[in-house]
Amino acid sequence: MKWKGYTLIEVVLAVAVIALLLIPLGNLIQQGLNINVRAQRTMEFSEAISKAYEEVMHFLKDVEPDFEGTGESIESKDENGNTVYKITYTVSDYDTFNVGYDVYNYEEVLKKVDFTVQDSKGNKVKELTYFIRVIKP
Amino acid sequence: MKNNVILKKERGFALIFVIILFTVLFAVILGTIELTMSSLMQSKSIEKKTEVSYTADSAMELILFYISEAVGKAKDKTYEDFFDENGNLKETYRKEYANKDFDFDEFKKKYIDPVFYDYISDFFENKGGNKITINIKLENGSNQYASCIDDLVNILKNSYKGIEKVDITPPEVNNNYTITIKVVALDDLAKTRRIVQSKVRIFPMFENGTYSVSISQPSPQDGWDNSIFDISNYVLFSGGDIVLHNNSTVTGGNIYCKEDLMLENKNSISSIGNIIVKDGQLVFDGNNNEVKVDNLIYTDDGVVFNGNNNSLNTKILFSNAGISLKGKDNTILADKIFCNALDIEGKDNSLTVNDFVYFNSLKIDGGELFLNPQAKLYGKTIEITDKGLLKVETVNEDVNTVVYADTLNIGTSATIDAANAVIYCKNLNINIDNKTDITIKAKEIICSDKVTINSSDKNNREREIDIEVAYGIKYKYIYGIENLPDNIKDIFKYDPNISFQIQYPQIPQIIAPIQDSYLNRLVNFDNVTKKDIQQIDGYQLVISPSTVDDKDNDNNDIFKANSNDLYIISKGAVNIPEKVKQINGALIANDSLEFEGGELELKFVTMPENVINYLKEQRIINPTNTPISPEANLTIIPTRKITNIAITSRYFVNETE
Repeated sequence: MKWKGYTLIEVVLAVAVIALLLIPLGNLIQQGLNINVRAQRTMEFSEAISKAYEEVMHFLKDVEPDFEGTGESIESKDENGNTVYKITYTVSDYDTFNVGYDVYNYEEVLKKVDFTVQDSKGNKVKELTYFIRVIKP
Repeated sequence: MKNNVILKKERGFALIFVIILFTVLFAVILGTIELTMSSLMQSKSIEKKTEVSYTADSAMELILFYISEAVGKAKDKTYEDFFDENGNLKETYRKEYANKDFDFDEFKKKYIDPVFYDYISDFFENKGGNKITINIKLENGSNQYASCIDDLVNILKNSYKGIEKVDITPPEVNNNYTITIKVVALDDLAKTRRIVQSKVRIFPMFENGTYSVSISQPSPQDGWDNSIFDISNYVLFSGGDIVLHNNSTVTGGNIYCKEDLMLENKNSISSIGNIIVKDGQLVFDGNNNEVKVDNLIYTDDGVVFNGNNNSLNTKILFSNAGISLKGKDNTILADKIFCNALDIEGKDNSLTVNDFVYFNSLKIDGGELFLNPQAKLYGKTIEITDKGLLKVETVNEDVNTVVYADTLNIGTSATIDAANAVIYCKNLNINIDNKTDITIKAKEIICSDKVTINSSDKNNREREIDIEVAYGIKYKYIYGIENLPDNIKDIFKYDPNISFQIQYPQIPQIIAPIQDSYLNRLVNFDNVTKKDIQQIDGYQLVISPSTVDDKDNDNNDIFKANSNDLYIISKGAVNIPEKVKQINGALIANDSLEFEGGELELKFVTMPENVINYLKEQRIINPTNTPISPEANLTIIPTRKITNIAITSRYFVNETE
């Protein structure tokens, strides 16, 4: 008997089944892609925080212990050189004490550093506050 | 047919095949998504960990800051305990420091460190002594106070979010006072913890050898002379007696002796800075001795003139006991005299004062006391009898001489010749007897209590009493006025409102360190253990653990008959043999010092630097060198690099709590 091919019903059913399966699959693929992007952003965010904290710490401890005010913003970029996060920070003297006799004088200062993290569009993503201790001659 | 069967079978296979295919695809995609999701979770976890790590780090910074402040407070407190606001070692400790033969490192270890670590352990071991309190500023602007480490941890934990736990170990004494701090930080959702651990060394008050000691000189004061605190300025220094027999001369330097300083005949001591007779007497036992001192003569047990024709000339004469002029023709000339009992007896003994004389009791019994113009006399009791003379030298009528006394007794043949002086006393007693030949000349006599005139010889009184007081003798009460001749009764004037206050002179500040036995410790004789003869800078330096004299054959090479350039430091006595006629240098002995034959000329030469350095090396004199005295300021300047704490390690701990 000569094979007459699939019947219309068969094809319609097959296409329907494929379509039914493809829609959630497509969503899943899309979701997977989004998650990947988010994971990348999170990593970048973490790196940005780390970079900013370490940079400010070094700046205050080793370069300018007297610094108070808003510092230059620290940007983190992706592999294409696009800004992903921009972190600005403000430093204020939170607490200070002197070692109190004349011949032996230095100041220890607890600096309060407020970080503001913005994304590439300038939206505020997060605010963080840390303390850094510096010794001023 | 066979083919058909196959075809027939293939027809049913297509749907199953598709379903299987898609199932596989689905599974693969789900797996991939799972993987992607886990990557996201990991990234999120890394993000959280990063944040919480820095929170932990930040909390560690906070704790270190306040710990450092606590250590700083402990240092401040310790510093205040030991130093004054100018950085000078306080009186009590300065005495301790001067007392001992040690340098500042040892002093620090023995005295400063224990006090400092007492403050530290009180705070870090929660001992509850509340010896240090630190002020913790909170984010809301309020302040809280912590007196121990538990307070600090609780305040920080309650006030800063993200700190879950802080563990701080007490300082390990055997490990350079190291404490371990462990901070556990937690994220908002309490899912991520990070633990950071630091080891911190608490620095001591001062690190060994990282300070400089500066000794500043006190401002020049009346009688103060730093040279007495420096052994290199002594020509004679004896832990026993110093005996000068006959015809010896000593020139230059200071003289110290713990017991008596005895002068027999015809000795001359001149250009001497100071003579300190710590516990004994300065005795002029023979005749014709001459002592000239530029600044101070101190004696604990007094100055006694037993012989004749001796003279003493000084700026300040201080005697804790008496000054007694007994022989005849002895003279004392001084700017200032402080003594307990001043006894001027014997013919032609005289004492002359330029500035003031201060005593408890004065007895002029045949001798003479001259007050130069502007001089003052302060005393509790004055008794003038037996041809005694108190004379105030006058240049013109404006002289400011005053005499203060609680009780002034004027007796047999006494003379007060002070026509331009004012005499203040509480009680004035004039004692008249048949030998009386009293003369009182003064500008004014003010007697704030009573005047008593005693008489045992009323018959002859008129010719014997001569009182000339220009402004009268003022009194509150008078007894025995009837014993006086009528012509002098008018001199006595009643005044019920009389009163006066006496401002006694201050004892020179240099007396206190002398009395505190500072000078006994200028040489550490305990470190003289073996005989050591050196030639340094052309001088022979003899260090001997036993008596240095001519009897010991070993000493033959020490003394030459004529000129000796010589420094002797002996743990025993030093007896200069008769043959020695000249020494240039100084003699220092733990026991007595004696010029056996007399006729020795001792000329002081300041100890050369190399001799001093050698003695310092041998620890025979204090390594920080003198002068260390209560009045000299001992400033300790620690090196700047010392901070309160040093972080010796800091790392994140990989442990899940």
